[in-house]
Amino acid sequence: MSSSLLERNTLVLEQFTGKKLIPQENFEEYEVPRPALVRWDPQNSSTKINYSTTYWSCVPVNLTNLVNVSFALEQFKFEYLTAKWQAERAGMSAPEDIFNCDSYKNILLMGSIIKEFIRERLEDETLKSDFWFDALERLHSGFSPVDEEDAGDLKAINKAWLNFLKR
Amino acid sequence: MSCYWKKEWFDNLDPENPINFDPNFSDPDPNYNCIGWAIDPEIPKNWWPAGPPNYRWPKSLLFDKRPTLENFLKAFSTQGYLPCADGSLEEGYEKVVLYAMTDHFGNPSIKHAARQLPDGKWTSKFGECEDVTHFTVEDINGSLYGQVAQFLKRKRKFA
Repeated sequence: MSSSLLERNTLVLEQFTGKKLIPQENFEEYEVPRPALVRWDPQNSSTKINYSTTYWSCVPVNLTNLVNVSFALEQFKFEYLTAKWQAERAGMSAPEDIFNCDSYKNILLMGSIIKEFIRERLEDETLKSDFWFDALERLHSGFSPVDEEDAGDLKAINKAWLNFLKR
Repeated sequence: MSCYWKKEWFDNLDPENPINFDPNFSDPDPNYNCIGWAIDPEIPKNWWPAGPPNYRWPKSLLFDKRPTLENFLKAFSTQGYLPCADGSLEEGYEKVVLYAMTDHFGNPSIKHAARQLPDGKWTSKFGECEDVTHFTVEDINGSLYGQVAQFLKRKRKFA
């Protein structure tokens, strides 16, 4: 069975930090390495240093690793903000309240990278339906693949978006 | 999912002292909200004036997406509900109560609805969290839904 994006990203972070990330029920309890840790590190075996006689520069040869780590950190940030948003909006029915939470605004500020993470959450059938249609519409300039007959049916809405994202 | 109702949302409802609510309530479910639960408990959906494609709302009212009391009264009237004076139990009728908070312009902005059960108690779906049976409409007044704004009634359709 193929591992999920989150599992792969967890591995990337564990390899980078040399620290085991213990699965937590609540993402707010994760000890996620802060972005400040993602610096070029001369001691790290995945990077190499090119020295010149006239000047010295530090060029991480294995850039892929740093890209992977940045991506993994973004996913952890997304999961953390999502858990926070779910707690903030608990009990709310009005979309003008649900989509006005600070955590949700911070999710949107992450930009189009969240499309990949949302897609993974939509694919995960163990998760409850979630209100991702607003973010997805914003990322697609207001477009929605949802039929009008499915209005108000969150499962059908998420299915329509998942089919669209898979195309 | 962190979606369980909390005491601090309400002035009078205390989850640890169940004198004013039925301790048996549903699981959290984001697939329907309080308005859908009040209008049609058999096939509840997410209803709100935001309208299609993400929310259900009467087609004739889609020109106005504001959550005003007037807009909700019109929407409930399409389902046979008309305004009434109070939430007392009336034989053969089912009632709904709308809760509102005051917006920046001083107008009531609807936040929640509860439906009266045949025994006179009230059932409320707390957003995507549980639906809970509470004994009076005032039980869920508070910082989350505001105060009672309007009662409505129609001939009883659901038991």
